[in-house]
Amino acid sequence: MGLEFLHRVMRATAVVGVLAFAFVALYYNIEFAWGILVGCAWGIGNFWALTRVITALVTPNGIDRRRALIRSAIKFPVLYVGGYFILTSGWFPPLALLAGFTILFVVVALKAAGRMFLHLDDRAKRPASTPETLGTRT
Amino acid sequence: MDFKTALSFALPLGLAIAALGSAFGLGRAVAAAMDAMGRQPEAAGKIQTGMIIGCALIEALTIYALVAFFILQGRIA
Repeated sequence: MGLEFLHRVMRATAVVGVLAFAFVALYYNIEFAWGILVGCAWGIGNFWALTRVITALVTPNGIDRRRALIRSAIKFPVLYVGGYFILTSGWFPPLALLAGFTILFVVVALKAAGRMFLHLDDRAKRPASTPETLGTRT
Repeated sequence: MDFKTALSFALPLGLAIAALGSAFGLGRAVAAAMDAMGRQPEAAGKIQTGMIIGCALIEALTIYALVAFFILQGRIA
């Protein structure tokens, strides 16, 4: 489970967000649907920026200060200024934004639960089966 | 003290407590991750991934508090 897991989470969240948008727009309310989509985009943007900041700042190979500064300068406006703007604009219902923002965490939880129940991490740790190893097993 | 006055005191206080808890949580998570990376640099990728998910969940708490603030703010005025 590395950084590619996080990229897959972001892609899956985008797909779920678009599906939720279409479903809510069709069966409930277009304003609420846009709120979910914007909240989902906000969540993905925040998560992507957080990934970038942490990989730049928390690394055993020494910090690239310029890169870390640039990424931090992008991340905090995305989370707080962007969030403040979309919450105070009044264009979207706050509950819809909250629902959209939560999609990412639901996807993370479901993907992590799937990995746990399917024992995918254990399988990755196990050595590959070769004729020699298979021969020694009883 | 009426409902609106109580709410106007409680809302910023609640948001501040959530932000404080989130800050402590993030600090502890990053400190623990740095410690773990120092002990096992070969596991840095896995530690980073877990930490990113943890940090996102901790940050989400503050966002939820912020959204709750905006939802309840309308009841003050």
